[in-house]
Amino acid sequence: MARRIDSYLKDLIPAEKLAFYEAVRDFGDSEIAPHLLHWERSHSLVPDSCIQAMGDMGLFGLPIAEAYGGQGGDHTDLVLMGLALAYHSQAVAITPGAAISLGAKPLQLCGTEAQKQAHLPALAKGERMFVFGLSEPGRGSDAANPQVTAVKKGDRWVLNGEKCWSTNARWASHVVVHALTNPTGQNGKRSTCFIVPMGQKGVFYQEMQGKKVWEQSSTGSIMLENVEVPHDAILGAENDGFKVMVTTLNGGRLFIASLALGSLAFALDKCRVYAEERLQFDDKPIGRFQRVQDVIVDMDIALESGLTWLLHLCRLYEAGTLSREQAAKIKVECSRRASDLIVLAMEICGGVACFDEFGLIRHHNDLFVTRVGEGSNFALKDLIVRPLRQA
Amino acid sequence: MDIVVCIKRVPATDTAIKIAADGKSIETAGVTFELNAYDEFALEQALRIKEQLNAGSVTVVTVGPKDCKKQLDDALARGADKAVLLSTTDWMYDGMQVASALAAWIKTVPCHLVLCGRQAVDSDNNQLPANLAGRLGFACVTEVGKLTLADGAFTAERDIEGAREVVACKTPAVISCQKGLNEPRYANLKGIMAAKKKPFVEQPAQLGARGMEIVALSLPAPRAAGKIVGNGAGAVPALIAALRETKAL
Repeated sequence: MARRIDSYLKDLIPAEKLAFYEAVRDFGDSEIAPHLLHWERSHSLVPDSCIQAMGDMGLFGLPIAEAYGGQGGDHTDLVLMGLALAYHSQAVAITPGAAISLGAKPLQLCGTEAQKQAHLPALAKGERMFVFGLSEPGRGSDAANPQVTAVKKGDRWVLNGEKCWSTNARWASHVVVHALTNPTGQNGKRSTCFIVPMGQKGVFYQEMQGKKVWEQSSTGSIMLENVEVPHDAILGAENDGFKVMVTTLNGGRLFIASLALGSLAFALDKCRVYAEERLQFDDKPIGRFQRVQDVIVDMDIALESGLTWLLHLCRLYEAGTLSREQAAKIKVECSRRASDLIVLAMEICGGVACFDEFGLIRHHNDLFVTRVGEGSNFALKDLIVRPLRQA
Repeated sequence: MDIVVCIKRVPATDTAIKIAADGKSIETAGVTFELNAYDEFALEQALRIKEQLNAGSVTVVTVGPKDCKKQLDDALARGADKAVLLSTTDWMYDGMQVASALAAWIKTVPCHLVLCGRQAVDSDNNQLPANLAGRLGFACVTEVGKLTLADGAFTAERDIEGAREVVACKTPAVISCQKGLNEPRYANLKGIMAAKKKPFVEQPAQLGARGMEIVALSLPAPRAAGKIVGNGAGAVPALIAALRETKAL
């Protein structure tokens, strides 16, 4: 069956980008879709073999420059990967997605040349993985004021505290810790980011148990107990960690929007096919009912408009003109539209939608993450409203 | 070693085939085409041989319409060095004609080894490898499931009825590739971008005379509806009787 999303992408992106999307799509069909149920029912994370295969395909080095061993792609390529992989599984898609947009990206944007040379080639191959240590047990939306601290001790820094919700922690080689370094500074100038090896003395990782969304994605809690790092472990400038964080999250929000649209694309195809195959009342398809058509049409409109908008914002991101509000708005809109519509899609399909092998329940659960991940929609609306309150 | 890989675009295997109005061909409108799965093994093997030797070239070639460029570009993106489209507007079903066109072109280029899929999954003619080898005067080993290269000679393994056959083979040769030979790679972004700069040659196919003609094409008869003989353990005798009736038991 031809995917509806493919017909829209053909008109929205150049041929070589479409070829890349199709290659990742085919990879997902062959290497992910046949195994998903087994992974889910055995409660396993993305297997190492799958991570290796994605590494072989260059997905972890997608927007990393060829000079550093990457694929030399741009943010549109990253988003296309998100769309292609999330069609089957957001949890798989977020693995290279977070490794890039939250792991390699801050290094690319804010790292010194020495830091880039030291890490980017291994990150590009998927041999090394950075995680972003941002959220904390007591800090989510108020991430600008971390409770994790870093105190200067001679020419070194000593870090203490706990990070949580760190995506990819299971496979991480390093964590970028966003820590409080200047408690009395002005808001936005109180924190610093540090590159900390996961094997460093005093770093402890624990997988967060009981998570019922993005089940194949690793989400870790990372404890820091008197962890000492040198001054050149700072990523960006001292007391400028908030800037690193904000710059990183802008691009990440576009990726989250791609995950929401990937799930929506799956739900649309699943629902429209089911509506034509499910015969009720005189053995006719339920797709003839206008209330069913209404939902399918709304999904179709949300998908096409979302894709058009998202790919436009990717171009702005590449041009360096994407505003925080724009990145926030598309994340909010794509996540809420897709998660609202998938409930109706499931209602059309009825009982069968409750079963894992039908796929909708997976996307339904995972879409919740897109509402609260990389800035909760409620918090992001505070950001979005700011220019609207100016005269 | 200069290797030529013969590929073919075929309708995607999940296509709902419709017969065209002429009753002899398939309706291609709305059909998605893809690289023949067996040809993927051939391409992958060619790339591995080149990587093993760290020398030589891999050229992909196909006979078909201009739309075949997509599959040739895909092969370039995976690592082939050059692509050749022997263009035709005809719907190609005749293995002899395709072999004729490929042989005529291969004779004009350096070639030590020809790799192709064991068959195309659309027409299932299974003619090309042997026909092509005959025209080129090359050795031919078909349906190869394992291929190793050492000291300039190939050892090919192939499954035959009830046994595994091991064949030694020197170049020049045509080898047709079976499932299990390797795990084909996917194109990556760097490969896709690099493909745009690789040589792509298009020239008319020298098809020669047809060796056969399709006179009619029809879809298989629809499968008969299933039959429920009853429910529960009490229905077992009726089920056995029904299976015996159809000679399944």
